[in-house]
Amino acid sequence: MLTLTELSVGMRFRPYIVRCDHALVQAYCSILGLTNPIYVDESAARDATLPGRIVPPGLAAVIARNAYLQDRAMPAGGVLTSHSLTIEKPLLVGEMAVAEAFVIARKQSRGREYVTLRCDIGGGQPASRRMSVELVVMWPPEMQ
Amino acid sequence: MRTWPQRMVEMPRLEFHPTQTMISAWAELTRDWNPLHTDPAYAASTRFGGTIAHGHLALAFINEWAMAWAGPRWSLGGRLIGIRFVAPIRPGRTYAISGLGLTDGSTAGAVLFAVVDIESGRECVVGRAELDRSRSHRPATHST
Repeated sequence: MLTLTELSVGMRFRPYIVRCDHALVQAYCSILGLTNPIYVDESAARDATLPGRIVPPGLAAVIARNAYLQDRAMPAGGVLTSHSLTIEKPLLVGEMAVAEAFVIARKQSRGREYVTLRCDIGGGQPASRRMSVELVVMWPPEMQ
Repeated sequence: MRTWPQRMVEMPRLEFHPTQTMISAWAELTRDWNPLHTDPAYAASTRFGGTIAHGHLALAFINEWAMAWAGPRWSLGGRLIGIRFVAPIRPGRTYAISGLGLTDGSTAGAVLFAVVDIESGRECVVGRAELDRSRSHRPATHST
């Protein structure tokens, strides 16, 4: 479990690396019922003047979350309160996403703790930045 | 109730209907097994009174709505800014994402949007989407 006491401003997490392969994108689309062909059909993507099938941008939020949790659990009661996303270039299906998260702020309000995290997501070899995610999480205190 | 700015034009609308099956499958895909999302008995004992969808599941649909608005250009220069989660997204209900954009050409790439529970009319997620037109819709090349 990732506890509040571990989160200090400036803290950087080790890079989280995930391959955004066809199976992942297919599962994402299937669960949500998405039918946009630019995620699964190479010719449709190129017809849309994209360089190839792209990873759905919504996956960035999931990658960012995994980049700071790193297979640890979120304490019960944690709530995502705000989110921002900047897309510079798409990730392409089959590429390796490299995500680096860090803590940029902490604050208390009405007795609650809020942690602001940023995650830069790169792709390719070497990785170049494609997207940035910034989110605020209301982080529950450790259980006594 | 939100007061929308003057001189706005209506944008595309996207409806989605989260189910517990969808939310549980999403938990498996994203490795986010918080019982607030997956365990109806546990969730019923919390202040939410039942399971709720993951924040990143709502973000996935918001990105699809942005794709419907901006087309593939969204993946080349889209921004979601200041998204706030103001009420939970619950299984078994139907939600609509819609927005309004300024007609003024200088700011045509900016939209205020909301995810609304159709039955109650309650806003659940609100934010702003922008499209960086200077970066959008380049030819199909993808240097790293």
